[in-house]
Amino acid sequence: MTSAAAISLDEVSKVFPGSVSPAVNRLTLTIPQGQILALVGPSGCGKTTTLRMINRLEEPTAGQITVLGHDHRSAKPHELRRNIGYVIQQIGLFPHHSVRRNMSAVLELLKWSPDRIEQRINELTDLLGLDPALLDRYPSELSGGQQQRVGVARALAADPPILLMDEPYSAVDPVIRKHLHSELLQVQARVTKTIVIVTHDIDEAITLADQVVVMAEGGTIEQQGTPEELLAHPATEFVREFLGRERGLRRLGLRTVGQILRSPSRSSVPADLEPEDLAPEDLARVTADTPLREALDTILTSGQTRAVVCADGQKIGFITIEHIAEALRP
Amino acid sequence: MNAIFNDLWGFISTADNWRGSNGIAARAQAHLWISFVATVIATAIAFPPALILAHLGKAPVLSVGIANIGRALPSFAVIALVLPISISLGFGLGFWPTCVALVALGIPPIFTNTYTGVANTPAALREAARGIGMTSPQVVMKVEVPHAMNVILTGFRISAVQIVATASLGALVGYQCLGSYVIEGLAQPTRARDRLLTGAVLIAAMAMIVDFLINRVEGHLTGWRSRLR
Repeated sequence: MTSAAAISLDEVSKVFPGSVSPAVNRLTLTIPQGQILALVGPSGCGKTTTLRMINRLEEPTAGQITVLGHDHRSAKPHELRRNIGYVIQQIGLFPHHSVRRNMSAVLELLKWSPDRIEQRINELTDLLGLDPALLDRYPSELSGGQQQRVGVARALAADPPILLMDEPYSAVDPVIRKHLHSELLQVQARVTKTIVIVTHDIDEAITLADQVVVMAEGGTIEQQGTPEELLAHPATEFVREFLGRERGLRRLGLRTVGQILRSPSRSSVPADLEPEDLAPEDLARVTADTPLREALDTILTSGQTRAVVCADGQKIGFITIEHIAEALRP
Repeated sequence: MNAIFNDLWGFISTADNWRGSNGIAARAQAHLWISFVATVIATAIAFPPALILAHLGKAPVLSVGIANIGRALPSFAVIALVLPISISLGFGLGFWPTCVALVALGIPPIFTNTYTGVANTPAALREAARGIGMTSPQVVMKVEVPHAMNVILTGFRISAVQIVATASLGALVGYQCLGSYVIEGLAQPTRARDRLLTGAVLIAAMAMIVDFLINRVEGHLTGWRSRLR
């Protein structure tokens, strides 16, 4: 069922009052269930407006939006929003409530019993790796990264099938951002939501998303595809420019050594691996989980043209610069 | 100085002065009562529209205008103005003319502070509240009002204290309250200096006590702010 559409936009336009040109212009987009889709583009491309139309924080001027098989106007806006998690850049935690009550805000709106809420808070604390000691603090007593986690916990509280995130990581510093990225992917691996994330950071989109939609000014789609497809075949000059330099290197960042080893099994020595190849101790070592970009760097830094692939301290193969070049070949 | 204190203490410590319909107890009670009624009416008139207008982001000019009118309006003049109307409508002297003036005095701080407090809710907070599925009334009651509670209560406190202090004017139109001691004292400044002093001190004390009590409530309701960094 992962290929079914969770959200679809059909010829959706938005013209803000007092504006001549549309913010979003006849946009048609299908968002598959259980995937992370990133809307990227420069400021003013209508990506945030597109996101906000999904949960009706903005009403489309024209077109139709279908959420989980229903026209999104078939329910009242506040009822629709209680079934769609929403995370914003400024997080917007309620400063007058404890972390616990922030996390249960939606559950209180849905009139869950206190016992059920308590149980759910425990699940969320575990899911997001929050320190339970933080639950009785106020948001202002938390660090930016912790606040962000609480914001996601609040959005996921009622276990909504859809999560909308509007520039969720723009306000945190790059180190924390990297942590939060991998945390989001871990959370997604456990709960499998349909996630739409708006960002102006193409690298963030490439890191997180299964599908990337590049939007251009005027609210139109330039290209939609997997990160790999985008980096390998940018459809237009705009996309090429937006993706920036080192597209090849960044594509290598999407795949791991394990994925291009001749033998996918980590425990067996590939058939074409000669015993003497395993001997040299001066070769650098990588693991099957190492991204190709990092493996290439390791090889180049070691002054060689190949590296040994190890698993649990055992040499299971080797990887050469040629192997890596091959990975980029169509 | 000592003589003044002795006058004051002599009057207050005489048990007879506390009794009867013109005693300290009765006048203090009447003083509190008219203040209470005026504060409740002022709140009922000022609070709801301020809340709604601020939530909708409407009429910022009006809110400032109301504050300025309030500052410019002398309570004494209001009493004088309302007195003949009250009499001709059958509401009589004393309570109602005074009460109207006090309500007029109490409205601006409550309105202005409620409006300002709610209008200054951070946009992200409102956005998050709507985004997680709060209805408009829920955004107001669960987010905007609690967030602005300290500003709202400050407005309420200013109104209440001003009303308590100004209720003394009621004595001028025949309302028996703590102001009556001041009037009686002023009529005979040499012979009734004890009354003058008693009135002045008790009015000030009552205003300060009301200020203190509301301050306590304020601290209790907005405790989260003390943990802001």
